[in-house]
Amino acid sequence: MSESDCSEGDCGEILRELELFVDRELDPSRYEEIEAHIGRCGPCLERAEFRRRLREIIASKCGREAVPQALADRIREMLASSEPPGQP
Amino acid sequence: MSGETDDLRKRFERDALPMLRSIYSAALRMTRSPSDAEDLVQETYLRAFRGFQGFEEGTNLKAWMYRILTNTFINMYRKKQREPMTVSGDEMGDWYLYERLDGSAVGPSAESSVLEAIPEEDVKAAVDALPEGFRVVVLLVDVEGFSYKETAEMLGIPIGTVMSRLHRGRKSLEKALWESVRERGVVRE
Repeated sequence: MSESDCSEGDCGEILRELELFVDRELDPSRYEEIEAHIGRCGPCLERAEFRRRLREIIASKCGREAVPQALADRIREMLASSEPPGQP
Repeated sequence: MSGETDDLRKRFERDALPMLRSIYSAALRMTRSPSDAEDLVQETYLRAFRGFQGFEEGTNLKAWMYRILTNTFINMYRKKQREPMTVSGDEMGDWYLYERLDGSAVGPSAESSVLEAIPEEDVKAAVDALPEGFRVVVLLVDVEGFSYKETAEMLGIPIGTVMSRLHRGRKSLEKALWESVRERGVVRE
């Protein structure tokens, strides 16, 4: 994207902070400023959405393995037979 | 068995067992081996159960469980030798994947649907290819949704290190995902 895609001219600064924005790691006032900016700036919005989708896709495609039944059984068994918590 | 410890056991089963799937998924990405992942998960649940009396009810159980998972992983599997702290993609710009998808023949605003089309196995392979220090940070933040601060505390590293590993790890993922869409012919250059 070139700066001319956006009337506000401060996209470079915004784009550098988009990762923190999407991760919700900015302080609230800066978060709101960027939220307002991307509400007005299509190219920045598109990049923010891209970052968000990328994060979601990594999470959804990596986080849902089927647990082997034998492992689930072993853990239940271990819980049933182990010393109660907090005992020496 | 006293009523009190029985209550703890029931509470642990009720609250911690439903996390088994996400804990196992994380363990599999951390160890990259199904049998190591099973050992890691079992050890994590055993340690968590034994220490459960020390868990303060009402605080974040997920963060508590993942701290045990992470520490157990580091203790059981950390490689003896120092790992290189470089990762492929360090030289790339911040918008590597976006710009390539944007410039390819997928059409405007179709970047997200291209991402959806990347097979699960390619995403997992891309994560698995990250060096351990980067992989664990990406898992904790992107997959598990922990904050930078929670992640830093879990790993005992500064927040700045979390940010740097996350940023560089993600760039490396972008590079691998771009190779995936290209090889699979999802986009034309």
